[in-house]
Formats: sequence, structure tokens, C-alpha cells
Amino acid sequence: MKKVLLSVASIAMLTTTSFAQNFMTRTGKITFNATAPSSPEKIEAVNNEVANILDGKTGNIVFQVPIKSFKFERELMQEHFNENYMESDKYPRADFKGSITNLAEVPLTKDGTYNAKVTGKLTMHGVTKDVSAPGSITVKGNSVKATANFSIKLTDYNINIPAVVADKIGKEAKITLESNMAQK
Amino acid sequence: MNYTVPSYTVTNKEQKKSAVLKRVVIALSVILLIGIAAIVYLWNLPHKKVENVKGISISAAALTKEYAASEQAANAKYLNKAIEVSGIVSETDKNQDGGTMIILQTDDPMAGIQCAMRDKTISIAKGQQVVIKGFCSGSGITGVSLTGCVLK
Repeated sequence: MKKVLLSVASIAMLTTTSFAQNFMTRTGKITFNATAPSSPEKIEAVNNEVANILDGKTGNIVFQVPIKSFKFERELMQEHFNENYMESDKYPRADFKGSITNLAEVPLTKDGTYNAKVTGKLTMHGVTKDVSAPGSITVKGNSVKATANFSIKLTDYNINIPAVVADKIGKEAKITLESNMAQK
Repeated sequence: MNYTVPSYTVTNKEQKKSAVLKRVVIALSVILLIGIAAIVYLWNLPHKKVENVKGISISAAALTKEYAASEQAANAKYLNKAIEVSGIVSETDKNQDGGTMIILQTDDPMAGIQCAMRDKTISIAKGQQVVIKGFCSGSGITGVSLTGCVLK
């Protein structure tokens, strides 16, 4: 117990000491597209409520995505997404915790666009997996824009698509991320 | 080419039979129509509007405290429910699609109530006392999230 308390305290201290170099946003954007090649319907949604914090000192980066904030064009799809596939009552949030592994090549104090390698753990629908994706970081003054494109396999996260809709919902979801962080 | 049209003598029994058949056809088409109507209705189901749902009233500070005490217990109480949160606007933010997010002040400087407004035509000033109604979508490191919000 003492050890736990100590580590909690040291984490708290670390986060406060590096606070000045944090970049954050609450309005990051994630879109996903899980349309099967043969589907006449687009299976896609947008979420403009993604929280994102980047620690400029360590390169640690966190994304938190409220699942219920994904907006579909069709309410019916939105309901199925929440109730049948993501079970958002049980798993209301997707979290990514990771870091920029090539921080030396991504100077956050110098304007420019840099390639960032991001590795970490993605927890979604109760399943945690190691994920790495190439991204891009654009620094302009006090703002940092992070963008990334990657795909995730739905079965990796125990999301099973019934055979009846397998011609509409693909096996993979293409994720597009864009987050405009400001220095905090 | 000539066809001879077979002539039938319509008996009482046959008349009854065709009457039954007629009813079956009518019944089946009614079921079919209801089915089509149901599919069209579901397909065009409107998005839920928060105004049409009864909301739970709570202050921004109290909601944050409940989530800080137990995320699980608070989710059981508020997740996906309409809530009316009263508080002071500490910050506003525009998202990439032109939508507005209003942050309500709480006792925790890191965590605000994050209200994603449904309508894009919202103008609000910092420091204003407001009541915002929206669907709770849970909480995270930056505070509790409400989505599809309107000003009360």
C-alpha cells in the first residue's frame, strides 16, 4: 500500500512539474470508416469530443474518446454502434496511452512539420492492445497539431459483426485523427 | 389461333373459397405495408433531441465530485441520461467542424464539464452563469462530457 501511495504521489509530482510543457485539447476529431467494399451504405461516424494531452518533456501522449459522442448520419446506425458493437454502456470510453518514440526528431519548440512515431496501448471495448502508428506533428507557435491515419481490426477488440451485415460492415475500421492542441 | 375459354360453373363452395383468399391477400398486404413502413421509419429515425427528455438537475461542481468519487457509480447514474448542469462558463472552444464546446467551471482546475453544443449558432461569454442540458457521455482526464447540448 505504501508503495502504491508513493508511486501515485511521484506520478502526481511528475505531472505537476511538467505541467508547463503540456499541450492539450478537448475538441480533437476522430472519424472512422468501416464500410465494407460491397456496401451501398457508408458506415462512418465523426467524433469532435476527443481529449488529447501531450507532455512536451517526455513525449507521453494520451487520447480519450467518449464512445457515445460518435455521430452517425443515421440514428439507427448510431444505436446499433452503441448497443450491439461497442456496448458503450459498459465501455463508455476508448483510451490510448503511449508516447512519441522519436521525440528527438520532433522539436515541439520549433515551428515545422515532423514525422512522429507513436507507440502505446489502445483500450477499447474492454480489450487492450499494443498499437503503433506513424503520425505527423505540426508545431506553430504555441499550438501543436497531431494527425494520424491507421486501421484497426474489429475482431482484435472482440467486436463481432453478424453474418447478416457482413456485406456492409468491413472487417477493419479506418481511423483518421486530427487534434489541434494548445499549450496549457 | 383460337382458344376456347373454359367455362366454370361457380358453385357456392368456390365462392366461399375466393372470399377467404381475398381476405388472406388483404391481410398479407397489410402486414407487408406495416413492415415496409417500419423499415422506412427505422431507417429515417430522427436523432434524439435532449429537449424531449426529462433531465436530471445538478451543479457542475457536484457532478465532477460524483465522478471523482466513483466513475462507475456516476456512470450508472448519468451515462447516456439527459442532465441539466448549472455552472459558470470558464472557456469556450471551437471544434474543427465549426461546433462549439462550452467548458463549465468546477473546483478542479484540470477538469471542467465539457458541453458539446448541438447547434452551431451559439454565442456565449466567459463568466456567464448558465444551465446546459445534454446527454452525458462519460468522463475522462479533462472532465465530464456532455454531448448534443442545448442552452436552457
